[in-house]
Amino acid sequence: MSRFFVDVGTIARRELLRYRRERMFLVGQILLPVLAVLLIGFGLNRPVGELGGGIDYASFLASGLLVLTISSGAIGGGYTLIQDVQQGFLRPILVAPVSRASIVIGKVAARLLLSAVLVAALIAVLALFTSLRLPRPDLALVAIGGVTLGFVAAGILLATYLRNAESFRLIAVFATLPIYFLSGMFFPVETMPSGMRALALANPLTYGVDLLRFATTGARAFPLWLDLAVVAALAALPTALAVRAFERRLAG
Amino acid sequence: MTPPAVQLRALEKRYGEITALAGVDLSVSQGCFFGLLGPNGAGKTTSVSILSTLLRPSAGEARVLGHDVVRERPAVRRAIGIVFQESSLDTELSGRENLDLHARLYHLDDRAARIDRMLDLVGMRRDADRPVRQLSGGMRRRLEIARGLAHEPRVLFLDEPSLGLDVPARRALWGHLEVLRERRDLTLILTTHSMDEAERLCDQVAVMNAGGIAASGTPRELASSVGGDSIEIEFEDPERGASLLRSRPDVSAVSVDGRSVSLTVESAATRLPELLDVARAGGVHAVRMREANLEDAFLHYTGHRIDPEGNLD
Repeated sequence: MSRFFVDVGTIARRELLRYRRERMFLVGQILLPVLAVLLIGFGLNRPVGELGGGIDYASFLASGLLVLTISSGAIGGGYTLIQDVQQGFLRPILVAPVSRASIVIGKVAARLLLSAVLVAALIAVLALFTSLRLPRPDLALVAIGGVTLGFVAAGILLATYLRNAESFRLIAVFATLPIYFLSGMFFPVETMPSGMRALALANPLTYGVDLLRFATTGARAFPLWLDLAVVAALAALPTALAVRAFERRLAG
Repeated sequence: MTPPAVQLRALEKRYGEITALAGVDLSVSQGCFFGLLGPNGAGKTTSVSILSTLLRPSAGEARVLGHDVVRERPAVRRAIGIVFQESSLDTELSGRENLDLHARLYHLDDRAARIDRMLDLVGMRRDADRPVRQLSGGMRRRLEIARGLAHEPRVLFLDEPSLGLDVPARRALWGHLEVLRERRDLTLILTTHSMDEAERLCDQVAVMNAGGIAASGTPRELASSVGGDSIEIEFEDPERGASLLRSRPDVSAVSVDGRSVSLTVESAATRLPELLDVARAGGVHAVRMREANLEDAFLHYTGHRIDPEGNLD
């Protein structure tokens, strides 16, 4: 068993080494939401006024962008697993005396760590000019974990069907755009027109956004138990599907 | 009794309607440098994939050092190293980081010193900290060999090690592989469609064709099994020379064309002086000889010549 954890650590270590090479990209992932909050959030602060839970628009948007940052990063992270298969990098690992599960878990663990670090860094910066804080770090971790797992798995699933990087990027953007806009990231679900609101309520990410917003601002639109249940499902269902798809891919 | 390094018994692999391996029997003793020859699609890579536990056989048996590749997978995985046909390094990491990752996956101790030894072995110490994407094909292949050897496997598989390398890189690679002979407990199994490579590196070879073994033996045995060396002698009096040579029992296929006489003999290098003695009365002007090579054997057993990419004519 300890051998298993060492292997998970080894795979995660490789991922982290790769992230280190992408420092500039990571800095961009922090700068972009900060710019959006400064320019859009404060631009709309006065016209929008106070929102549900008593927070201003800049803080509302800031908490939503935390989810955008980790989910868009995670979906690309899922893609790299398939890239590893394609580029042959996994073959020597598959020949080594290492369990298959430790490969996937190691990759996901590295992505979870990165998500947590990104959110922590973003909160630290955004706290300077919004009311974003971390009153419920426990719930924040649940939200980060659920959203990251769900989107890594979605990336793996998408990548098993779309083998080349260009079409993956294109489809990833088009498929996620409505999911992001209908999640309460940018504007509240309660005030959407009824048809739009129905779609937003059916979108599992809506509850991930709500959970992380509650954990960082204290404001929420849905009961806590509902947020937690949907986030758990968001993590579990795509993961189960992705593991099956990945095993089939390896068998072929 | 020590088990063979590799043993295949009636090994089959089918993909639906397609038969990749149609009952392969093969035994390679420990310490041997063994070459699997054959055109693309003959079943070389499939055999290696099964032996390295990446593919399951459809029928038959494959063992590495006595361990069954399906039932005793962990033991097989610990015993083998492999260098793939296509690069399998992480191009974003340096060579040293790639080797370190590998050493961790095998739970090796003393990693730094071990990695340095491996880098020295393949002459890659100087470029070890450059990202792999900046390295040439030959350097990458050498790094893969260093990685394949880092955990001291007893059987190393090399799938087309010199494919895609230019001539100097290929020669450098062969030099590094020759050094491995000093490690007497290491068995090397290489697949290749380069007859040069097989003659240069291998103690034993097997020719694969259409999913089966067509012939096996030492490169020399295989070469001479298909008709021997040819000698051409130019005579003052070719008829006289030819009749003298025909009287020899070890000479065959004697034919006269103008002033030159062609013949076939088992081992030209050792027989030639004697033959020239016998035929001296014919008045020898010039001699040409061509030793049978693996290419002739390949042509004989597969019915095809092979181009440098491994495709059949």
